[in-house]
Amino acid sequence: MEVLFGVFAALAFIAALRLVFATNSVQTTLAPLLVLLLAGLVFVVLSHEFTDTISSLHAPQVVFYMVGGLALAGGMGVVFANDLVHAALFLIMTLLMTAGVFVLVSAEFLGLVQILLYGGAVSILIIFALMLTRARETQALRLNGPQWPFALVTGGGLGAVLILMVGRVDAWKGLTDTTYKTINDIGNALFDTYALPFEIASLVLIVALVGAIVIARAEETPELPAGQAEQR
Amino acid sequence: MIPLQQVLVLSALLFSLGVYGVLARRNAVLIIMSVELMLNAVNINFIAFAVYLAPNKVVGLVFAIFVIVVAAAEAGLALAIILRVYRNERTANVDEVDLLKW
Repeated sequence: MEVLFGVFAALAFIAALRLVFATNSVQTTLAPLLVLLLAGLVFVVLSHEFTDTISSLHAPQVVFYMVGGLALAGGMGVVFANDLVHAALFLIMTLLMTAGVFVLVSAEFLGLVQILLYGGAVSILIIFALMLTRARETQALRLNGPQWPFALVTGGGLGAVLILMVGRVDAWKGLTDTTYKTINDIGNALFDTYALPFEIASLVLIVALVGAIVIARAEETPELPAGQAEQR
Repeated sequence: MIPLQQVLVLSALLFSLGVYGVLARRNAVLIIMSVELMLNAVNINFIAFAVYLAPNKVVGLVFAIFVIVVAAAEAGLALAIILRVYRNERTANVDEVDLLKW
């Protein structure tokens, strides 16, 4: 029942998102609307089946289904969208919803880091890359290569195997999170036990970003006089 | 409150979506986005295992922070390379950049 619940929720979310990004043509606007109506109708018809399930759900679990469904919908948007910029926006949605998942499993510091670094920095970087490569003007008609059916088989097969394995490990059944690690604990660990890896990580970051600047820097333009080009 | 397995299923689904995206897409920036999706799924796994299986340790959380740092460095570097490839080749599609193809 939970699975059905999640599928309907995900369908409704996808339909709503499709509506938001709908173009002017009739079928792209009407089709998601129909799916939305259908999902709502099925939900209403089956709602008496859900009453036991709903009353047994805890509030964090309901929020987890919503956040997780949105994250999955965003992930599908990233890999199935027909527009580069829409894919980037879907990616931002997934990253922010992942922050929600972190908060729900009581790792709220990681949630904040996720919002700051992914929701802020990485997504801006990606959108800038889209802009600087003129992705929208030169957008190919096909965003997928001819190999996409094989990719679908690989991805689907991997997902099926992973989910089957998750279901088979008995030690993970019935575990719930009980610990609450504060930001204090993480800070102490970072600057005490893991001080050296932390410094090395900062070194990696600065080397990578300086390297990025060197690679992306514009070459000397031939229009400039020789003296000016040397000064730069 | 939330069973561990549901979190793991979410991350497994996100990871396989990312695998599909990396293999199927032509545009390099879209491939980077799919890689970010996979790194995110890995992070969900790290944090879930840290919180559920090792209640007294913060190793998993610290490792997740390192994953985020490396992901940020990787994204910056990869996007710089894509920019340079675009400037040289006038395309950001990976199947059209075949200079090393023999």
